[in-house]
Amino acid sequence: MDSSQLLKGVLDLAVLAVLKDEDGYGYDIVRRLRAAGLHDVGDASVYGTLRRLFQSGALTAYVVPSEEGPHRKYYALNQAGERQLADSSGVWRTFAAAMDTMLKEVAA
Amino acid sequence: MTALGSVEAEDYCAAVRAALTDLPASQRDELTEDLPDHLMEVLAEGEGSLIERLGRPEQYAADLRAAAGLETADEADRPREDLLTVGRRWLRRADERLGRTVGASRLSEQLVPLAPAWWVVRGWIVAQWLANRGDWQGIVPGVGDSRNAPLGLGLVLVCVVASVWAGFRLRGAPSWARAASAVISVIVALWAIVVLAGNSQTGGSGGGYVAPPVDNGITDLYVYDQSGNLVPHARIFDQNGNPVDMGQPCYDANGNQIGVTSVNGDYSYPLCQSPVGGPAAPGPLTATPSGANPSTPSTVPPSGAAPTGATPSTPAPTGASTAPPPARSSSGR
Repeated sequence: MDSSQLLKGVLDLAVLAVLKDEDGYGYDIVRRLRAAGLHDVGDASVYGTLRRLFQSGALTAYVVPSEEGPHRKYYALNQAGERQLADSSGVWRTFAAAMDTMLKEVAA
Repeated sequence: MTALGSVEAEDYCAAVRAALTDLPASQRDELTEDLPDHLMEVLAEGEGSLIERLGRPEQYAADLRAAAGLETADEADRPREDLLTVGRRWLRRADERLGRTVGASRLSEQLVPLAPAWWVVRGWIVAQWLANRGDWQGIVPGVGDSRNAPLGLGLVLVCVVASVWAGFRLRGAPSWARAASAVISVIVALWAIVVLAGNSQTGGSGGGYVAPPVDNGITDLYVYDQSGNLVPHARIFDQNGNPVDMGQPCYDANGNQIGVTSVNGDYSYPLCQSPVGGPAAPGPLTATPSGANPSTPSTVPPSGAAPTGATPSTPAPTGASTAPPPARSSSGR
């Protein structure tokens, strides 16, 4: 099992978590996820996830004009997104705790 | 797309979009909205080519769709493997495997440029069907019993033009329309194969076309037994059991065919049934012809051929009445 399998299930949660601190645009979010330790995350997956979350109503989007470069589309958590983040992180914590318990015996 | 500062980025972007052509245009545009800026930013980091950093554009497109929820390609998340999914997957694998034999990643890619040629053929096949069903007579069908050639030509032109137009129009159409068109194409192709197979078996198109008799100056045949007696109403078959139809039938003053031919038109000789004017009868045979046993003519046919040898029952050719051949061998010697 490599981390990309895990990531598929959890990327929504990761993206929501990143956006909770601060709004971001596509590539910015990719960089932040990698900086947090998720090195295997694919650019395309992040963009696709952003779009899906936006479609499902968890994010709002706005365009920021820029003097020097292209206009960027920024995403932000809305109320539904905050709720989804809270629910999903609860599910994650329970799951991670269970896994940790089971793996206590296994050498790291 | 706005011109980017980099050919590499433009190519990559175009390739990603090309892998998403099956999506509606609006969806494709939304998905790739941020792509150009993304690519330029990645290039600006200077950590290698786009393909090195992001993977192949086809893979990028696949990941993008999967994450956007447009295609559940997740291995672990296969809801139900219905027949359609299994079928499509099998087709895709066959496509890739066959593609490799012609040096391409997918066979379908190599066949795409041939599509317009198929559209022309498809139109022609439909025109043939409209003109004469399965009776194909040539490039330009003659419509109906009157063999109306100008009408047939017009029909071919209309059908070919319509087929090609449909082919181009359907390029951007929703998948249900393209699927329907593919089904129709398959039906047309299968029907054409059936017709061609049927025609090749009967040695020419179906009814209404009779092969002209062999022209070697023979107008009638007279068959004599070994005693020198003329065999009336003789029927002659080759080694495959096919009737040998030679000569020219005779007609009386009123234009009616005289003499007797069997129901399906097989000739029985002599055609003119008039002993007067025929050749002089040869005398009886004095020596047995080598190889054949003339006393049991029913066993004469060489091995392996219909008419089936020893039995006096009807030889293989169709249409012959169930009455055994005339005279001698009915006793089954």
